[in-house]
Amino acid sequence: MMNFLMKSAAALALASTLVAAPAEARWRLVEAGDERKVARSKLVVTAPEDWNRATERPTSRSEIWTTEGTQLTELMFYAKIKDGETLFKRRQRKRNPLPEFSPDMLPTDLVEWYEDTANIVLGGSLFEIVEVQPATLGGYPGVHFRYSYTGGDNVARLGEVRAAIIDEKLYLISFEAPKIYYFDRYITGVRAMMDNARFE
Amino acid sequence: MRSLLATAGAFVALACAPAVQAGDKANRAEYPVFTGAYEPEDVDERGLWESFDEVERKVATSKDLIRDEGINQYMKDVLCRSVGDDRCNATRIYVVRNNAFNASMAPNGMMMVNSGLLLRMRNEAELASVLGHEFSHFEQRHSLQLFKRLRSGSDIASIVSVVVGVPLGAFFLLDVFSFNRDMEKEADVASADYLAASPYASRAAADIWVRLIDEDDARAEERKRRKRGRSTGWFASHPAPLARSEYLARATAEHADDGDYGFERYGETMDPYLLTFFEDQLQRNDFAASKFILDQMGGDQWRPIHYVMQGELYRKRGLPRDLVTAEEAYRTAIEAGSTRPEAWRGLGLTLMRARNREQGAEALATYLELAPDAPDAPMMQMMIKGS
Repeated sequence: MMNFLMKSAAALALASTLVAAPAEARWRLVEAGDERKVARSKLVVTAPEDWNRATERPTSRSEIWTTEGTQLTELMFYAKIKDGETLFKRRQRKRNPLPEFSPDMLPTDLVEWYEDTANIVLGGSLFEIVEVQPATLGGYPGVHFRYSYTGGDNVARLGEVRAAIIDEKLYLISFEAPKIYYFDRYITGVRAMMDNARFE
Repeated sequence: MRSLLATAGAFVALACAPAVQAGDKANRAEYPVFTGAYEPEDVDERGLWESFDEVERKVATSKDLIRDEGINQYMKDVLCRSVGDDRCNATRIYVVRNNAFNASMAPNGMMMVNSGLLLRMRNEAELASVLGHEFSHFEQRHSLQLFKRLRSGSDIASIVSVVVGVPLGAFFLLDVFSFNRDMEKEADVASADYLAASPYASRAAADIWVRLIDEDDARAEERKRRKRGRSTGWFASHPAPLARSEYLARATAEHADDGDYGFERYGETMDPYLLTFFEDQLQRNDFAASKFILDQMGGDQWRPIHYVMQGELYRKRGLPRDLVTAEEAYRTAIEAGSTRPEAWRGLGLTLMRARNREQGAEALATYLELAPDAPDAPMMQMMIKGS
């Protein structure tokens, strides 16, 4: 019961914690094949099909894209996260402080760091890492992992993350969507986008 | 209907009385009279039960539920030993993976116990007192009272607590319906009575709240915030832990008994789960409180598993000096005979992060021998090769 109360008061999904003011966010079309620099960095990705990017940034170091609304498909880009910074905005600094990034983290530490952040934001131990693989991002060695969780809206979601620490800063691309239909519908294109991401 | 049921209940209680083993502690008290009316009685209560039956169906299929028979049977046994056999059969206990210190009781007899609570109990008597506390919410029908009051709209505080879900006593505690302060006190006193009548040591109840205060003090100091738990804010639905420990100590002083603590039984049952529960706690980014919990758990009898936990605690914080402490802890655990794959994984990752790649790779190789199917195995292989 506590779970249900807490969850309804807190996060339904990671997405809902990220979009600061959806009412004010405007969306711009990114057409299939468009190349774009993301999250105010030199990381360039190619849209595998038509996507929409929000003109409002969740944080100054991130950018959010969607196709069907962020509750259904949520593609996030984070760039240049520095030593001591957190993945999301620090909302409850004293009550639920988020773990900080450190440039000497191992790839597996990054996975734990992401997992801990998600669990604090979601309020529980709901977030589960399914698989961790070595991977590259923009030609740099990094990590690719898959996760699953069921948020306060009782929707089972799957997600995948590609991350690498480059020049002491973290670059990360994440995608999540409901397990039913939406994840499978988009994941192939998203993986290709992660594979082909490059630095200008 | 009511009187009939109540009479039947009293009969059951009487019939069962000889089955309770007396004489296992010197001055054991009698259980309070059991009225046994566990069926919903009026429209209000039937509606409440039905809505919670629906919730219970969801809980029963939740993926966060711990389904192992051993731990579930154990919880039931402890509740029965705490409140007596006739009472305990009216409830179903669900053990849930959740790192918050909490347990809750629904009006239909569904009790939920968080793994975070089990991590913080030191012995069976403490667990028995918490289960007894939750049970007495049920027996005294606190949620029904609250529901009726809520409907009449006269008690603003209880409406607020249901709608907003106020974190109780600011310890993240949140019982089902956020029972109000008097109800919590009533339940505390009732559970002290159960404990006095049970084979358990009565004074275990007060210890829990003293530790809860100390844990939050440790957290407050680390986060540079005001310490809590010493006074009760008007908004808080539970009495402040300090007040609780004091009146519980007074209540149990009346029943000065020499009952059982059940240290060993508790340790044996929880041992296979403790590392997982502790890992869940570590996810809260709550170093000082986690360290406090570990120190309390280990006491002056640290076993290999406690050293593995210590390694995880320091490795996760990951300051350069933490890596030294973590390495030492994992090595102590391994030397003391720990065969947990987590010990080797932790040692390997700690060494790698401290740039001792060769030894780190060796430890990770041992980890993969012990846990070849781990979800992070492909990544570990890559890290071994790359070193």
